[in-house]
Amino acid sequence: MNKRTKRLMAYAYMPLVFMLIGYLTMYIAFKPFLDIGFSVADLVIANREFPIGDGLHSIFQPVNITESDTVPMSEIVIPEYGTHYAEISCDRINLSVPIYFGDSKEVLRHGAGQYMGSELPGFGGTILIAGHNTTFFLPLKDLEKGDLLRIVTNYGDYEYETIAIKILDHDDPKAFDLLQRERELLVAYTCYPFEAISGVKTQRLFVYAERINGPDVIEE
Amino acid sequence: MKKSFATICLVLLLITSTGVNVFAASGISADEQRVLDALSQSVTTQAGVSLTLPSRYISQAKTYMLKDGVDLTASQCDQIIAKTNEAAALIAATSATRLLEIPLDVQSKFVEQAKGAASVIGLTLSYNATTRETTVTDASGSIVATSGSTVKQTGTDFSGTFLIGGLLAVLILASGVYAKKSNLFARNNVDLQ
Repeated sequence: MNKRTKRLMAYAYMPLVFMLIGYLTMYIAFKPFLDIGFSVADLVIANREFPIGDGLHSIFQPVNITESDTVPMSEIVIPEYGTHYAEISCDRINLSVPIYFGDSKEVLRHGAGQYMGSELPGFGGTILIAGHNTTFFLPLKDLEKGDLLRIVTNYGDYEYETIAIKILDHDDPKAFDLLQRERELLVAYTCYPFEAISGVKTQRLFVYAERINGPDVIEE
Repeated sequence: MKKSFATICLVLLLITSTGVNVFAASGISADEQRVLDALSQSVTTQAGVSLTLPSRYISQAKTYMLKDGVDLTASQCDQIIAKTNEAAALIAATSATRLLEIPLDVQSKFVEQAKGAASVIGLTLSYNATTRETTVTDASGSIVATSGSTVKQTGTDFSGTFLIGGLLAVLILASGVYAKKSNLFARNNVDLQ
């Protein structure tokens, strides 16, 4: 390849290189806004059919919810990672969000995510649920002590009363106890503060709600 | 070091998951509870410090045991507890004061155990260098456990936007300074006249 050919080639590849650098720069700069946009779209298109991509799927069909005080464990399917298995809602603050089992970035783009090392509703332990503060869990900023949170699953309809709202560091070891069995405690959290545009947020708004209604899951 | 620590914790979790699926799920059996108790035990190192496995790993192990089709037999639980005790003995022989201080050679032994344990029932341990997380998946590819932090980032991270914005600002400033030093602005004025 002689010098002239090389120079002519440069007219082709240099614009391509700069174009790619330009697109990459724009992607990195605007990715946070794109993520918010996609999450908002997910909020709007709430009634679509599953599967929804990102390896997520749904088993949520609350059609035969028992009215009894107990549910045999054999009737419960422990969801796989990335499975939509419940809905969390609070009428007063206009909260209505799907709950997935697992809390990866992909999951949190589509709804609230339950830490897979925490208990399912009805099991009498700690239920740890995360949601984005710009979309799904934004209504939590208006939540007050005494508000009722409802979790509907395939096997039961659960009600939790908000007993405390705390702002803590994300790594505060006293924020919750995953192994406690004294009471069934819903711990929902999101990044705090809500309005701040910053890098990685280190604080979280933790909502603590105690179960007041819903069937116990029992071993037969 | 952090990666290795996370791997160690997952190894202990993997050891608990080496049972063959026999019956449908029916909660945590007495034998499985013995395994969870073994995992929860504290280990005293040569430094006289008592170390325990973080609760998030134990709770993930418990969730896995609750799944349909995952039931550990008594003999399997015995084997698991024996392996857990061996692992605990390895830690006890060190002079670590924190789990993060466990020597690399001990950590390597854990990793080898993990791979062997995983292959028995088709569980796979993988490390993601980007997210710095170790993940355990089953034969179907479904995630069984992760070493990621319990509390996730649930706000929009604008670090990339700030970085790009800063770089562009520096670039524009540098271009302006260069243009001025090279009299590019002055030359344009001359041309206009």
